Amino acid sequence: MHPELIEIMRDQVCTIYRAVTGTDMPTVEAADGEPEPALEEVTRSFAELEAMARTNPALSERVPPFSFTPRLDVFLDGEDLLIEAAVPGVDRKDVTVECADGTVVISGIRRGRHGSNERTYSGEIPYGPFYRALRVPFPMSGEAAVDLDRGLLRVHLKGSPTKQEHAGGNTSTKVTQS
Amino acid sequence: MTLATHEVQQLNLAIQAAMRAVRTGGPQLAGGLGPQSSGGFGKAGGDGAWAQQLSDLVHERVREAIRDRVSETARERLAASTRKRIHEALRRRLSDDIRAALIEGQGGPEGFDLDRVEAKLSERLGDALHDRVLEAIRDGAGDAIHERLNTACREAVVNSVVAQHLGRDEAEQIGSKVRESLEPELRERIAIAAREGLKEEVRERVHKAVRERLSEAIRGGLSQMQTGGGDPESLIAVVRERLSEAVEERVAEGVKERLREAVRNGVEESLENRLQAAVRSAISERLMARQFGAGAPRFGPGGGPLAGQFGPAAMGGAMMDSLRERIGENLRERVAEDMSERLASLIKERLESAQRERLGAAVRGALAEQIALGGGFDPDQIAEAVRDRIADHLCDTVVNGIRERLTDSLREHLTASVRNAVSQSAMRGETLGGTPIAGLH
Repeated sequence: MHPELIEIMRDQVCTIYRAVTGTDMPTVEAADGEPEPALEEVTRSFAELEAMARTNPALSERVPPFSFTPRLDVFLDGEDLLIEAAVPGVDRKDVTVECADGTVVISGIRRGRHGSNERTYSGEIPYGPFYRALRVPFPMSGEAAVDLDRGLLRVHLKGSPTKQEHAGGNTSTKVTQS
Repeated sequence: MTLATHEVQQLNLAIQAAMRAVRTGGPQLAGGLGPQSSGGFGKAGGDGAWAQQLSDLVHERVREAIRDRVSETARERLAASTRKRIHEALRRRLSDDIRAALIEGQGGPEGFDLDRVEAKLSERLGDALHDRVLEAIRDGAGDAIHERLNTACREAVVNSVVAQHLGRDEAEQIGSKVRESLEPELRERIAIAAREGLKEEVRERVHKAVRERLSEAIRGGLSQMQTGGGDPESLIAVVRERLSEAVEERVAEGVKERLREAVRNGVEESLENRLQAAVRSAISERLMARQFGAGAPRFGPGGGPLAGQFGPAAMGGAMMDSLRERIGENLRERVAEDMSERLASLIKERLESAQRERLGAAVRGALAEQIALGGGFDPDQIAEAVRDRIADHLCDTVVNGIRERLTDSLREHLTASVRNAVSQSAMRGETLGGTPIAGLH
């Protein structure tokens, strides 16, 4: 799990609480001797809470969706491939691009407005974790160049000269992190 | 990196607090549709209000389409299927009924009594044809409306504002949902409306045809019998031949006329009772499905560990499954318990009533027939003759009773089962996957 995901999940829980009660989440402390919950159990409870919020129309419009799949545009330029992923409001440091076994995986986190005292009047732009995997139709070679500009993540991949023979492939491509 | 236990603990407590708030419905949720609820057309007002707006705009169109396309076709198809059933029933039983009526007509104090033959034949035939017509309507109502109803609902929604806002595919799905929701009600209402007054209509038509044709048919039959060496079967064959067509024609015509009104009333009642809710529910369901399905990938596998874990589609699916199972469980328990008792007493009651009404006459008729035909007291023949006289009636009486009781019981229990299942889910915190939520009990 992404190390900062807990914090982002807590933000979402607080947003839901505020949307329901109109007040901030009170500070709650565990009772003495209360067993520590397993992370898996907590993430499941979180998923349940999210589902409850999503299925309540009055609530869902005031709570932005949590987790999303970025939309992609994919362009072919000769043997090169350009992938553009829509990740508005995401910092470059929060994005990871992995290229392996013929698949490009874009993942990361869009942070919420942590620490703000604002109340969400209407929340439609999703935040939280995102993930998108794309099968590349030919072998990649060399380095994948990644840049983020105006909410668009661009991944440039160089095609291999042997691409006509490729059917998925196992080529691994170096990941550029910045 | 290891996550701090304290952070996980804090998150868990916050989740539980938020869940309690959502379940109890905080002040921000009470009575409002959210911040955009005063907006005009569009998504303003939340999905509930939007579904209502779309529903208001489309349901009149669906109503008109169903009125225009379904009623007349349903009437024609039902009229054709009832006529076929009348024809089959006459072919199968008219000879026996004539034979039995002729025998009973001979049992009067003054010898052969034509009025008595006429009355007995009309009664037997009227009851039997009424049962067959009801059966045909019940069996055929579904087929009669299905195709046209489907087209009417689908096209009405696709050509409405719904398609402009949600797209053609969604509109088609909404049309299909509306059809699914309306069809059972329509079928039932048409059958109920058709039943009203049908018995008198059929009896009257049969009686009229028998009165007009019987005496002339018997005369023709007698002369045929004389020239044919005295075989009573030739008399029966002639009477059958001359009556059959007239009875079929009259009854089918009467049923067709009655069906016009019955289908129209059945359709109107169904539309009145069900249409608005059906359209609203279909639209809400699709809106919810769209909401759950938002952000679905266009290329590649999409999803992934995080999206799979928190993705709304997975959550919605699990919750729907859980609710569906719970409703099914409730329904099975309630209906099964209730029906097993009710049905046992109903079957007994109906059998007793049918026996009281028919068994004595059937035994008498069978014995008289055996004596008149010189068959003696052959137990097999008597059993067969009694069975022929009461089997259909018994079967129809019991089946109709079960159908009526089942319809009542399902209507009674369905709402309660759904309500109960939903509140159970909320009370027990089993909104997802049927697993209790820690810390809420």
